[in-house]
Amino acid sequence: MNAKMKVLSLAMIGLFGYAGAAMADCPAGPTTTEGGAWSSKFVTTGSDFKIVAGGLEPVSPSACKATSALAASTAAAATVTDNSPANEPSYRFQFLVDPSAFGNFGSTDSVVLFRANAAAAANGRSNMLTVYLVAGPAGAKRLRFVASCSAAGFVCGQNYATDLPAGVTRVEGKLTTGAAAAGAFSYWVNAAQGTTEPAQSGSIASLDNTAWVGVKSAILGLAAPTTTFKNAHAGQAAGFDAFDSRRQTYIGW
Amino acid sequence: MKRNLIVASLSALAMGALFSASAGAQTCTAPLSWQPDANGNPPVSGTTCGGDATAGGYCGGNFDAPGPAFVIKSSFAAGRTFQKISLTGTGFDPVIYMSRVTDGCGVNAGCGPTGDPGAPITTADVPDGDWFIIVTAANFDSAGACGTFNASTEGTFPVTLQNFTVS
Repeated sequence: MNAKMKVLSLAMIGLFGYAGAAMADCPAGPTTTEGGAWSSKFVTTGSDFKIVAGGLEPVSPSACKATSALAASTAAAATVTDNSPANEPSYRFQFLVDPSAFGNFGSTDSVVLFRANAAAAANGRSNMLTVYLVAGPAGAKRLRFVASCSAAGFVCGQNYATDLPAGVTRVEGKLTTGAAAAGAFSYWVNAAQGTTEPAQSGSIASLDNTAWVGVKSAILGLAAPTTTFKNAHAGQAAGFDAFDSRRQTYIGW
Repeated sequence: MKRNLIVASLSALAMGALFSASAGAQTCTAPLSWQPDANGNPPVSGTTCGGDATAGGYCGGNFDAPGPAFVIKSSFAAGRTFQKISLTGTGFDPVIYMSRVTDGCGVNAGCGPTGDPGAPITTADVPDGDWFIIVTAANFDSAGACGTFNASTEGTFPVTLQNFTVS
């Protein structure tokens, strides 16, 4: 079964089946208890995560999207968590992000957009994968992918060396847990429309990441800003939408 | 009672206000000690070219380490008067990553404050303690990127008294 999960207020969440139906109104909040689809949320004092009108999908947008904004603190976070993954050795995800409100990025501006976490820490890390929004030259914004691995320091990172376009960016990834070269991460940034897997935008090979077992939770939203991001972009909201995850096949759109 | 006060070292103060703490690239094993005086003197000027290349990344993997680094070591404490640490550079896109000395150097330690020419490090972002101030190329710079830089401030961190004798 190729289960598809679609979240962020307009959809259901879970690894075993999905059916999302557009609703006329946005839910009060992102969590299931608020009418949304996420397991929980974590919002530090002064930060904000909410569901607002206006989906980000370029084709048939949903009625709502999420926005995440941080307080002026390097410990700030405004995130939602999906706890439905079950130590997944093969985990695919996709989301849309609109960082337009941030304007130009300084050279050390950086903030976390997404994390895929293990159930327990290994080698001092529980983040199996982290997606950062970082700077490109001349104020541009780029993505950086960091996977836990068995190399020295247990961190294997890669910049996607293409400036993000203005507006919405689509991010898709596939994290495979395995020994030696069987552990790997592939990503697609703004892939063309379609559901057949195209050539990847980039990859991080040979993670040798079995120490982390598999993905147990997915965390979406802004967190862990650098001081420069904190000082320049506090209160500015990024839009998120169309989170989707599954085990095996390419998600696409 | 006669007192002889011998101050063996007021770091950097002896350099005076007219000189920069300029040196070849400093490394993790031999960082440049920087404790500017009340006027922020001396600034630090130098080059990252040929500098420390032990780091595979910075800030716990948040940033790549495309080029070598110039490593500075400073102590911050009550009595500080500086408001910001500013950075300029040529030949590359310089940045500053600050990490706790206790977390090690060149080991991709988690970051404290960061800065760049457009975003000075502010005193409010620097907790008291001993810090490495790493000047290196920005995450997006090309492999091997390096250049000259100037790091400056307008106050003290403060100057540290390293030896005091009363007789």
